[in-house]
Amino acid sequence: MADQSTTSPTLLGRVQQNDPRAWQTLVDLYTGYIRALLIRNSCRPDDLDDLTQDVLVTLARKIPDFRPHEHKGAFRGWLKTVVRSKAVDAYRRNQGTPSGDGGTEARIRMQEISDPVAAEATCHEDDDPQEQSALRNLYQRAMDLVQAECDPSTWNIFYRVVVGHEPATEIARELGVSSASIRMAKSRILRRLREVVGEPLDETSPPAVP
Amino acid sequence: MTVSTHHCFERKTLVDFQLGKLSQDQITGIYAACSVCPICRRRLAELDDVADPMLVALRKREEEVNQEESRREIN
Repeated sequence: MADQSTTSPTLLGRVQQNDPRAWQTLVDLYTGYIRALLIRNSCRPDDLDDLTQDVLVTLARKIPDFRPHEHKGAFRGWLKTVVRSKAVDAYRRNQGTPSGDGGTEARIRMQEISDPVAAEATCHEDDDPQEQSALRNLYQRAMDLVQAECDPSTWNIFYRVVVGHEPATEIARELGVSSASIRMAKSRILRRLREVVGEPLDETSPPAVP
Repeated sequence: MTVSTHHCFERKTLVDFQLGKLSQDQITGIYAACSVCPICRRRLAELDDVADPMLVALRKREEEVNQEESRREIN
């Protein structure tokens, strides 16, 4: 993470600096994703609200100690660890109580989650459709936030080249600008999105001096 | 006579540029270099289709939104 003594451009950095608006943004961004992870960890529907709150309280308490470069996958990886821990606690509390739904699959998941090794493997799967859908919703919310910061024409370029997957050269020709400027707009906004959601960044390879 | 001091960027740096993983200053540096270096410009263009899970998710989200709109129109 960059120098924390000044205002950080990243959402997590601002949360770590006790910025209440940043915390609210993080809650808005991540609540749906946390719920999806809890469901993925076979938590009971009746427990979801309380467990989501519990995860957020833990985040609030522990986030000052979070160091992105020490956690593979950065914030989401760390969040999954917190969620998994809460799910295991909930399972232990509910042990012996039949799961609210999910049947055999849910019971198998519960058994997996009581085994730390199996739980590790389970929770690092990113191919779960429900989790993927929650992740896409998270990115959508992040895009809404970043769009509000951006010049509309720059946002339009980003949207066409990244989301619409239109060739940079064609957009450049249409707008009468260089392809390099299209790619720069794409890169800048992707960078902001990563900052907002806490995705891993790589600033360890400084570009050569032109 | 001016001696060029430009050293072309490594592929990893250009990939990180395409994925938005570099700092804003680094992005500006590569943009400036690509404006004058045809080799870097070509290499960067060759990486336009590079994607990571975040970019893939952004595109899938668009597909989801389009499908939802289509369903609404049909209904």
